[in-house]
Amino acid sequence: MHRRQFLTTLAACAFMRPSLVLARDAHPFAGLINPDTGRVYAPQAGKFTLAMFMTAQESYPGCGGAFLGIQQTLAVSPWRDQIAPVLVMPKISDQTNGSDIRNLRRAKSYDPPYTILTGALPDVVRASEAVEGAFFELNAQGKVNGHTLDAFLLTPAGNMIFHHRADDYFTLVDLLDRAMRGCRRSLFRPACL
Amino acid sequence: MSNGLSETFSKVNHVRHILMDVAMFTAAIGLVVSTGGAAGLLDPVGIFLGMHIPSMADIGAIGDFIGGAMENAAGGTFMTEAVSLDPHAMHGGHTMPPVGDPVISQSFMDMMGGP
Repeated sequence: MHRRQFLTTLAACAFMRPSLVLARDAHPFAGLINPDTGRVYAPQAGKFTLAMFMTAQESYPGCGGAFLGIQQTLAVSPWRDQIAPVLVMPKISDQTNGSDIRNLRRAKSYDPPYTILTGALPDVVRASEAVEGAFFELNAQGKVNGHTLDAFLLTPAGNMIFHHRADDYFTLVDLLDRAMRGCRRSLFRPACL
Repeated sequence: MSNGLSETFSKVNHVRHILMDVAMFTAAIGLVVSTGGAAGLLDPVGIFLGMHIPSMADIGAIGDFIGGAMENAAGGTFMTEAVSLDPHAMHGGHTMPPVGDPVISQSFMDMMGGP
């Protein structure tokens, strides 16, 4: 970038309203519903979200390990009061095996419990697509038969700042701590809002 | 004579560059203040550095720095204390049981499209 471009950008920003500078897309989970409350999801003020994307059915043997990794991380993390675990879950009627709810039972078993978010299948798929790296897999009949086991740390505004691969939950505590410290050090970074 | 002129021009040009840099840096700080911090404290400084350090060509990468570093870390780029611990000892913690039998209300199951 040349000086002239820099100064032009600077001038543009200076005359722009802060609301425009801060303008961003809606939260990725904005269209989802919390079945516990029956209300549309609203992020808790100032709280980060540690999100997972799972079916109520146990699609893989590793589902249980992923849950435990998150639970243990939050149990020892110094940031646990500032992080809310969230589970984006398609409706049971949208999954391949409607009688299997093992993941759902797990999610409701732990303390603190996951906030489960669901919705119409297009909304759930859209929510996963809005978080880079997250996904649900659909079969030819349009039923959900797979999903990522990864975890995603979102800021209160819904920006994804940390994508944790499911193949190693041993490092999650440390990496989550670094991501949170990184954002807390620079409170005004738009990506951390 | 021309040599003298060239030297003078060089000095003046150097001073001009310094003045421009000072002005830009001040403006960069001003940007943070005027946007109430929305521009990000390090963003304008990063742009400033990018113009002076050729290897920092992709200034846009600054915004993704933390996420990128964490992704690299997850890919095994650097080790952490947790990794250096005995993984079997760590894995022992995975026996942590759930709190208890979950209570799932009928209204919850209805909204989930469950049985």
